[in-house]
Amino acid sequence: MKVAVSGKGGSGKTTIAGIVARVLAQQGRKVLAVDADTNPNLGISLGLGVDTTFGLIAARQALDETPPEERQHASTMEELIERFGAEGPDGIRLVQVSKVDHPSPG
Amino acid sequence: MRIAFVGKGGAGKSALAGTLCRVLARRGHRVLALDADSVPGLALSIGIATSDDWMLSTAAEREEGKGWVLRISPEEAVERFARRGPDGIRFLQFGKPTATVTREQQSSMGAFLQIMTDLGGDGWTVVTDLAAGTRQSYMGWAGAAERMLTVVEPSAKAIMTARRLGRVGEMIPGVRLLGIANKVTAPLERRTITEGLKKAGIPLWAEIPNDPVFAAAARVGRAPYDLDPQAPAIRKLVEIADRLTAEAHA
Repeated sequence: MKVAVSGKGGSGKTTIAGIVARVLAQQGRKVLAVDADTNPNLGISLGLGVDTTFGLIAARQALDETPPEERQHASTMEELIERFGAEGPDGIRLVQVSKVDHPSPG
Repeated sequence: MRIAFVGKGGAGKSALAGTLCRVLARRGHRVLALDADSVPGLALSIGIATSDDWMLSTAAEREEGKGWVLRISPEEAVERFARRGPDGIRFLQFGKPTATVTREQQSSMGAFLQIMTDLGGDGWTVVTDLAAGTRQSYMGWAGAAERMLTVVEPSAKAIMTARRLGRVGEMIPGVRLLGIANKVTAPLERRTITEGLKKAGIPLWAEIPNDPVFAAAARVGRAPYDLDPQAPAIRKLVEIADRLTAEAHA
């Protein structure tokens, strides 16, 4: 099952997404929470706390910062989730896709 | 003077930016309101009907190796293509491109960006409403503004957004970030925002109270100024307008 949440900023998207993820996980599903916002805060709505959420590294940044010699052939989705995901409550795995909090070239 | 509004979605950027435009215009400023956000909000807060028009699509032309370039001056582009709103306010929007971006859309967006960066300072008071979040600020879209009003409501998420925006001040010389506490209902909320802005390295510059007039205006899609110009938050914005003007002339 894939669920996407969208809408106007401030209307409660992330809060609702977090609650839906927790409910589905508690019902026994294996839940992957994907935060595609460049200003991500789904971690807070899942219950990871502010400091942990603030400190998470986004997958894109992590990939950009991997030295070329360490970059392997394309990883599978499972490998990416395993490497870049964060552990949340109820076994939820959270992945931040891309975060903008620094200037980047280009 | 040139001001940009930034902050987390829902914190109140468009409502405050639009109302400030009305206040400044009525105090004699020549106001250009720029909506850089694809999610429309500024027009309604000023009192202009929203539209999907690509207002600037004929203002730019495609130049080899340069992309879309204004074929007239930014000032002329504003004069000819900006929508007129209440109190003499001029309005332009970036627009919301469709999945397949048309030439008309590219041209209009390119012209908008050039006006945002190149419009001469003299005589214009430019108020820009950036998209929610951090992306446009880090792309330098606020760079044309001397002051970035960072709107924070009493939530951890809004404060976290401000912490991420805090570094923009170091990145762009000549830009000052000013913290605006919005929708404050209690001293606890004021304290939470104050502590949060301190972590963000952004000074708390003004506080705007929670105002039922703004909530009512949002519900019906009208400008707060048209509902009640004497609303508490609007009286606060009048003080803010005067401070901004005084500091700009200092």
